[in-house]
Amino acid sequence: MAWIRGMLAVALVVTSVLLQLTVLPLLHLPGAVPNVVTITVIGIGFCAGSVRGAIVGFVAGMLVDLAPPSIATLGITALVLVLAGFAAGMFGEDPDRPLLLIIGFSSLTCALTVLVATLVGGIVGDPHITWSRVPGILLSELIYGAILAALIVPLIRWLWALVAPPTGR
Amino acid sequence: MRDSRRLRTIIGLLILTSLTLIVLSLKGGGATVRTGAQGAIGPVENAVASVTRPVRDFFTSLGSIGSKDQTIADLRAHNEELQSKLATSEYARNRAKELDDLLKIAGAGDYKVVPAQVVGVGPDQGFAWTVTIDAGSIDGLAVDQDVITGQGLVGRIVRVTKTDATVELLVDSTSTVGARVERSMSIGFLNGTGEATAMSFQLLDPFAQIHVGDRLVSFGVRGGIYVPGLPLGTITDISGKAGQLTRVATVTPFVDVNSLDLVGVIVDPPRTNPRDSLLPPVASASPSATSGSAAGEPSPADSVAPDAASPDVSGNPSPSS
Repeated sequence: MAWIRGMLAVALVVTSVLLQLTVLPLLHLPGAVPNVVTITVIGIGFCAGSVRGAIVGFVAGMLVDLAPPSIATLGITALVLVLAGFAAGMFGEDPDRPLLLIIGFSSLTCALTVLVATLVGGIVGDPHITWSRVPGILLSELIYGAILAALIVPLIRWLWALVAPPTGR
Repeated sequence: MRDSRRLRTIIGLLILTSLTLIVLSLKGGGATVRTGAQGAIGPVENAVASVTRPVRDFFTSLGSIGSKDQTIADLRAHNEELQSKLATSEYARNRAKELDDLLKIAGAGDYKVVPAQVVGVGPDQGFAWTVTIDAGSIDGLAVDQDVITGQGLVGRIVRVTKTDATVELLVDSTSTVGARVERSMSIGFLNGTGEATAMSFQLLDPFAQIHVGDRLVSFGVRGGIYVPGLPLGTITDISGKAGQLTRVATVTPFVDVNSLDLVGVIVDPPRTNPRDSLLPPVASASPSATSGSAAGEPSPADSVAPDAASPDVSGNPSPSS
């Protein structure tokens, strides 16, 4: 059943990237655009474990870096999402965890990925980085991250169990 | 034991690949990969944007529907239907107005404009201000063409494929456009800061007179990237005194980058410089100043340093002595 889960992961990632780039920014929500891709990677990481989470993170990050209209440095998003997927896999292997803890972890990881990406961009000399916008973006990452995690993580868990029941069948 | 080694290998490999890509990308590689990716993903973005448009409009209109009274439940259903219809027609009206503005500015400037729809926006987390539009090389678009709305200059095209194009917005921190103050004719450079509402304007002549409220138009040369005469923004703040080398003005762009929808791409620039004629008439200040400069003659009273203000890209001889 591994290939069905693989396809589910690809479908989730592609959908989240398209949502992030074409639908959400045009809704003109206050603050930065919600980071659906990161939360999706974290959600998959919870279900799939650290190695698969990291691979999914890499693919998602490459898509974000390559999809138009991106002109940012290639590979930075891939790098941070590898770390995010890995961290989620390490964190989420215990199934009986309260949802609140999962939401907190997701929202914090979401903000951390942005912070790390910004710092890496700053180190390699990305000319686009605007430091004055960083605090606002981090704050909206925390808030939107929590909201999105509450919606998306249970959804992914449900889909994951749906396409391939865990054991005993 | 074996499993944890495999884990470390895979994670290490992924991180190494990312780092390699970052370095390669900084060295200037990856352009072909990007164009390929845009060719593949762009059309999907176009499709998603057109499919989700009605859904999006419906959700934005939902905000205005609200009564929870049981007795008017059926009325509410009816109301919802009407509201969503109203939102759609209002949206259609807005689009018609945007198109109308665009046609007006294109007509006034004598530009040939290809209309396009914004279908994708770069992530805030990447800090770059870029959008995807749903017109490409088959519509006559090419790299470095200017993108406008009815309000003024939006940005320029940095990458183009068959069916869509990437636009770098004026407010992006790497963008620079030559700008000219509407009345005093002094020129300078308008730089993006990465903030949506604040750009910085640096004057070439440190003694030139600028005031809060002065409006800027683009200062282009024929064959250059930016077409001359496009409205850019209004000066909202000036730091430093006249004569200081570090005199910088803060400029709010005319175009609101957060609500871009319908834009136009100038595929054929005008033969003559339209100067200030594309700026909307000033409501409060003397309208004669605007019409005077629209005719092509700067009024010398406004210009402190006429020598510095004389460079004229449209090929006209300098009006001052």
